[in-house]
Amino acid sequence: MNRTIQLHGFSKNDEMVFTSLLSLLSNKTQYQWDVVQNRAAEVVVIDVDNESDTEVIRNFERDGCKVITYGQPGLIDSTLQLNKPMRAAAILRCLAEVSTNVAVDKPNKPRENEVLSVPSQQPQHNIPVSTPIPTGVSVSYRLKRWPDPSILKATPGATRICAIMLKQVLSAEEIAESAGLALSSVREFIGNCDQKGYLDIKQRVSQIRTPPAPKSRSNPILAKLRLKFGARV
Amino acid sequence: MSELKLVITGTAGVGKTTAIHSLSDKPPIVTDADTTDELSEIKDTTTVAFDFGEIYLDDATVHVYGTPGQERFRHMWEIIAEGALGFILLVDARRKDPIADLEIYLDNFRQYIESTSAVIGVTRTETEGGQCIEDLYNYLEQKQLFYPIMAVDPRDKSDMSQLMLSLLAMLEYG
Ligand SMILES: Nc1nc2c(ncn2[C@@H]2O[C@H](COP(=O)(O)OP(=O)(O)O)[C@@H](O)[C@H]2O)c(=O)[nH]1
Ligand SMILES: [Mg+2]
Repeated sequence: MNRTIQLHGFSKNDEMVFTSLLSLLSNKTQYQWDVVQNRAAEVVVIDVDNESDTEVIRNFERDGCKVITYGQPGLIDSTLQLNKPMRAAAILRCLAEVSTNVAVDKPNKPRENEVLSVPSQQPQHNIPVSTPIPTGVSVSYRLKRWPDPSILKATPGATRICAIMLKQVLSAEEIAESAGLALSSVREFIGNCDQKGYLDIKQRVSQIRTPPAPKSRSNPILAKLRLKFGARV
Repeated sequence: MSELKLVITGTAGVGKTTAIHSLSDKPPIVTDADTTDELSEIKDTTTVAFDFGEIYLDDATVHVYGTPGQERFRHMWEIIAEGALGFILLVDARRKDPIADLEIYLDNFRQYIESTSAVIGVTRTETEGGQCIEDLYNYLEQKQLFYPIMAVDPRDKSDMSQLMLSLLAMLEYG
């Protein structure tokens, strides 16, 4: 079944860019997305540089519409944010995130904990009866490049996030849990890294699982050194 | 309690002594001596034994060691590496084969690095650092090794602090 998406406050040019990127990406998204106008869509992308009325955003949310904000990096503190300039990877990331909720009612549930590269299609697996029911597809990330100091300094705890993301593919929620940081900080950091192309973005089919507990490797000496060399957290 | 120490290693002239200077709370003890071999073209003095700096914490002191640059002092590497908290590997971007340089230090310290962690600082990136860093990442990826790689100027305290924070994050969360 196709999913619907609406653009709000978009310039003609951005509307065209978004629509054409979306059709280019259609084989990489989990669902087929149709851009619709002036009717209740499941997802709305709001250009917050042109629409700053938070009431408008709340109204969309009240109508059960998932909101993705679109604007200058760093201006908005939104869980689902598309930074300007628009990048294909960021669109894929946002759509995969909003898909996590709608995925539940898909009839063919894919295997749990399977890692799929973004470009791949959804496989149709039968799950054994004993397997816990997967809740859907979540988007996960791995850091391919250690970011430059401007990104490391922008988010408190960024260096810690990097260390966690360098070896493993994890969702934003899992990273936040491991790092002991707010999800909004992790998302801000992921957004900044995505802008620079530092991320490997995967869709992972998973059940809700307990995220890895924060590492108890912490050693008071390391913590003191960290403060001495200027860490904020 | 055993000695708390960090190790900085890399080829002669890469910036180890300078890095220890930037990290240390007191002027490092430098055991450089005049060199008469081919290294004298790179710089006037080179590390013959090891450099030593100290970072003071309220109730502890962390020692920072630089490894000796010359082949004939290699027997000292293991003594320096044993028990270290972590490793800073410096790579000179201007050298002919920075990947081969990195490989030597990764191999030599492998067992110590695997049980702790490491960061890689690429120095002298003023001219062509970007490609060197990209090449090093590709090399690490082939080896399925995951360490931070950053451009650093060892003379710059804030670069060195960032490198140190990255190492600490790898030790605590990597
Ligand atoms: N321009 C530049 N000079 C550097 C850099 N790193 C180190 N140096 C210089 O290179 C020289 C050798 O550094 P040193 O710390 O003695 O190297 P070591 O043999 O590894 O201990 C010193 O004069 C440093 O100031 C860098 O990134 N850029
Ligand atoms: Mg030296």
